[in-house]
Formats: sequence, structure tokens, C-alpha cells
Amino acid sequence: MIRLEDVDKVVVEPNGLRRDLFRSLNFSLSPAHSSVAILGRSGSGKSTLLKILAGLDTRYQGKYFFEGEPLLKNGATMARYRRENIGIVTQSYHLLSDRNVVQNVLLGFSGKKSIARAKECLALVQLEKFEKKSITQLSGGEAQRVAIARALVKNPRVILADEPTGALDEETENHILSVFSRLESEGHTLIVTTHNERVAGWCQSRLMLSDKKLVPQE
Amino acid sequence: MGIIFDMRKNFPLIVAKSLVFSLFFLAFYNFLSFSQETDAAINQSFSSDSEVNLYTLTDTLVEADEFSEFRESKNELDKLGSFYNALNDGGQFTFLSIFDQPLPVKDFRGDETYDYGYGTEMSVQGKYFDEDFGAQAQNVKSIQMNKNAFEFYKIRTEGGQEIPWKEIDYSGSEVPILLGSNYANLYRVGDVIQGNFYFKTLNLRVAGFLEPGSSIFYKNEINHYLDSYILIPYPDTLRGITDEEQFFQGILSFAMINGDLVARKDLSSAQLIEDLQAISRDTGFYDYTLIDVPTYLVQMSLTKSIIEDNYTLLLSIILAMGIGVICVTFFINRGILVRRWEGGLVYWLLGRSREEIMREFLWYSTIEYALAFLIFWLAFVALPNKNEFILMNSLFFMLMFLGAIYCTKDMCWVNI
Repeated sequence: MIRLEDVDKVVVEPNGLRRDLFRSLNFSLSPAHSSVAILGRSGSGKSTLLKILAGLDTRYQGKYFFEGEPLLKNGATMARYRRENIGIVTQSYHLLSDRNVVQNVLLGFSGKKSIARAKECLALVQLEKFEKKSITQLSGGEAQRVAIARALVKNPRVILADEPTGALDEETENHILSVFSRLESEGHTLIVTTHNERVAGWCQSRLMLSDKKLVPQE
Repeated sequence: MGIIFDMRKNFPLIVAKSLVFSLFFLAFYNFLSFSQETDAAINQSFSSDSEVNLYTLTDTLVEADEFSEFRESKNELDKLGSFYNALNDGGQFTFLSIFDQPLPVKDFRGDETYDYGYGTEMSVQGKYFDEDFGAQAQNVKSIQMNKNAFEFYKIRTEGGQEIPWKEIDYSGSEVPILLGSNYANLYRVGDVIQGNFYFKTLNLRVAGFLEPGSSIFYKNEINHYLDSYILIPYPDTLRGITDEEQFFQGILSFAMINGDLVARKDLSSAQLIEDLQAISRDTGFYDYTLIDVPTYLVQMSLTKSIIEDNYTLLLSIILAMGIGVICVTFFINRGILVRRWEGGLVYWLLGRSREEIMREFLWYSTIEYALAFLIFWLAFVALPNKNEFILMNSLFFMLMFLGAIYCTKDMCWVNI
């Protein structure tokens, strides 16, 4: 479904030095995968890889294929690709504080908005009674579930989650994982970057970012 | 996406920015308005016409008996008429004949602000019963002048109407007159006003209205405004004195030869006097004297220097304000953009391209500038110095539009 081929990525460190982040990195996600964890130590490039997969970062060498077709690495093409196929969940939720829960979920639609679908997604993450609640009144776990509901409204093929439980306690983490399980069962594919062993263990397969490449991990 | 949300979130900053811009536009408008009026004033008063010497011509028949005797002599009045005609024909000078004889007007439609005494040390008489008219009348401010004076002070009418100078004849059925701009709500073009001019009832037909702020140099006043005046044109030539009108023509002739002579600076007063003496020899009228009017030149140059100093000062102020506005709006813009980009980042994550987000932000900025334009327009409507500045307003709008584009460009530098 998604394939990265020979990706080279150079980053500039805060001290001005250039560093190779990825060298001839390959990644392949088949429809058989329901969830993949990407692991690695801090600074190994987990978040950068997720940005590349989301089409948010196009400044790299290499090729990106989606369902066998190469994607042009320009902003407009990648934005359309992201809009149609990818849902994104981040560690800091990226919710708009001037809107309530359902208004934030509605942001996830790219075309015609459906309140019913938004409510359905909120129900899926067990927040059906939070529709009118202000974002500022939510706990971290609730905010993360709103972000998941927002990623879900357009029914994307792939959900990319960057450290989705990074800022949450264990109980809330369990909540989120149960939501992820439900998404898996509904046919969504999850790619999760994490350094959390429990979250990684929950995923069907695991890849470790090591020596500028992705290495399968048992 | 969320214009309403954006307005709600950034309302104080948007209002502050719009106010700063609109106030700057207003200041800029007033500056342009001032500079246009200054240009007009300089063109009217300080152009090549100001590079002249001005002398006042006045008759010397100061004794009442002498004056009365002169007026009763048809022969002397004929000489006086010829003298006036010769002065008008010019030579090396231009004769400006101006006098402010008040005009009793029958059933006058205005209030006491038009009264001859209003705004002076004299008392305001107001409306009274006039026996000659057999009706109510009022002594109204009036100024009489010849074509030379009219042209020298570049007096213009609102509708561009012109006085048929060749046809001015006080013996005719009607005399065309011009009214000051304050009369616009009282009379219309074509109306006929009955006025008593030197004890002669004239039918004065309104030929047009003077431009607002029309002024002349009169009685040592650099800007003697004519907005409340009735302007009666003097004829180009005085025709022969008739028995029936000798009294009227006698007074009128004397009024008409009292005026100013405008001469080039390089023409010495001796040469001017020589010219006048030649005219006297030709016409037989010698009872006059010439007074130099240095005050005119002094006042002119002083006023010109004040206007130019003010212009420079205002230009400096407007430039300083412009720099201030740019600095203030830079910080307000950054504030707005940082707050706005919080939403922009979310839209980007959710699959909108940078270009789409920029386009959306361009709309937001356009609303800010449209609001500034609206505030400016509302204030402009209430301004007393409204003018034909549609073109300038369009320029303002274009500036705002360019500013909006600039804002969008500025957003490209926000890192995501």
C-alpha cells in the first residue's frame, strides 16, 4: 500500500552541522499489516519519518509509492494525498481551543461536512457526550481521543500516530490502545511512532530505526 | 474555513490594526487635502501674479462740496468715465477695481450672517422695512469688481459659468451677478434678486455660485473670503453720462476708479506715474493719487512662507506617522499571524496545502483592510473638507489590497 524507496534525508543540527538522518531507507506497508510500530532512540528520526509518510516533509531524496504509483513530492500533491488517505494524530493533539469538541472534529472533513459522521466518530472514541464541551475543559486522554475522532471522520486508509500516548498516564494509555484496537478491527491501518514498549508490543509488527535505516524487530 | 472564528479570536487585534490604518489614511487624506488647498492658494495668490507691485489709486476729492460739485458736472463725469475706460485698457499695468458697497436686498432669504455688519465692528442691522422697495429688506455684504480683478484673483464659479462682461449694463433690465458659495441653499441659478445699488433698483439675475473659499486681497486682508458676498460685476467701459442717471453714474464712477494698480516689478513707480499722467492728459482727469502698498507684498511673502513651512512640517509628520504605522502594524501582524497560524498548522496537518491556507489568510487580511476602509469612509463622510477625492480613495483601497498581499507574503516566513 505504502512504499518508501531509497530515502536519503539530511538534517541540519542546531549547531549548523549537517547530519545524515536516513541513508537508503526502505519502508513497505502491505494491506496485510494492521498496525506497525516505529521505534528508535531520541533523535533517530521517528517523527521525521512519520512526516515523510504523511507528506508533510518532501525535502528528501528517494521515492514514495502509494498503491504502486509514485507520488510527486510537491506540497499540493502531498496535501491532496494526505487529505484523501491519511489521518494524523500527534502527541500535542493540535486541537483549536476557540472551538468546541464537535467543531474540532468537523475540521477533519475535506469536503462536505457531516455532523452525524462526526458524532459517530466521537461515539467510537467514547466521547459522545462531549460534543459541546470546550477543548480547554478536556483532560489529555480526552483531547487525544478528540484528535483521533477528527482523524477518523474522513475514513482514511492509514492513521499515522506520533507518540500518541507520550503525555498520558497508564490508564489513559489503555483507553487509547482500546480505541486503536477498535480502529484496527474496522480495517484502518495504524503506523505508530513510539518509544513506549507497551504500545510497541500492542502493534502487529515493529520496526526499529537504527543506523539510518529501518530494521524489523521481533 | 473559519472567517467568523478568526474574527472572534483576533477581534481586538483586527480592530486595533483597522483603527491604526484608518486613522493613518485619514491623516494622509487630510494632508493631501491640505496640500491641494495649499497648491490652489499658492496658484491663486503666489504665482506669477504675486511677482508684482501693487499700488492703490484713490481720488483726492475729499471735501464734500468739491465732491458734490464734481458729481453735478456732466463734463467732469465724462472725463472721469474716460479715465476709468483708459485705466481698464491698461498699458504697462492692470487696473483692479474693487469696492464693497453693501447692497440692500428686497425680501432677502438669508439670515443675519449675510448682513453687511456681521463679523465686523459694525452693528448688525438685520431685516428692516425699506421704503423704496415698500417691503422688507436687508443690507447684504456685496463686492463689486471689474473683469481684471476677477481674473487677477482667479475667481471661479462652481458650475463653470462665466460673466458676460461685455454685456454688463446697469441701465438694462437685468444684471448678472455671482453669489458666494454660502448662498447655494438660498437661491438658484436664474433667480432674480431686487437690490438697491447706489439708490438705483436693479434686477440682479443669479448667473452662478463662487467656488467655496474664494477670496481676494482686500483692505489689507490677505484672504478676504467671498462666501457670504454678492458679487456685482463692473462694466468694462463707462458709457456717456445720461441726464436721468447722472446721480447714480456719478457715485458709481467714483467708486469704480478707486482700486489697485498691478505693475510688473521691473516697472518703476516713476514709469507708472508717467503712464498715468499720459492717461490724465488724454482724459482730463487729474484728481487722484497713488499709494504704494508694501503691506500686500509683505503679507503675501509672509503667508507664503508660513504655508510652505506648514507643508514641510506636515509632510514630516505624515512620514513619521507612516513609519510609526508600519512598525505598529508589523507587531500587530506578527501577533495576528502567530495566533492564526495555530489554526493554519491544524489545516495543514489535515490535508490542506500551504497555498490553500495562504489564500484563506488572504481573505482574512482583506477583511481587516476592508474594515479599515469602512472606518475611514465613515469618518470621511463626516469630514467638513470633503472633496473630489474618489481617485484618492481608490488609491487607498489599492494600498490596502497591496498590504493584504504583503501580509500573505509575510506569512510564508512563519515556520511550521
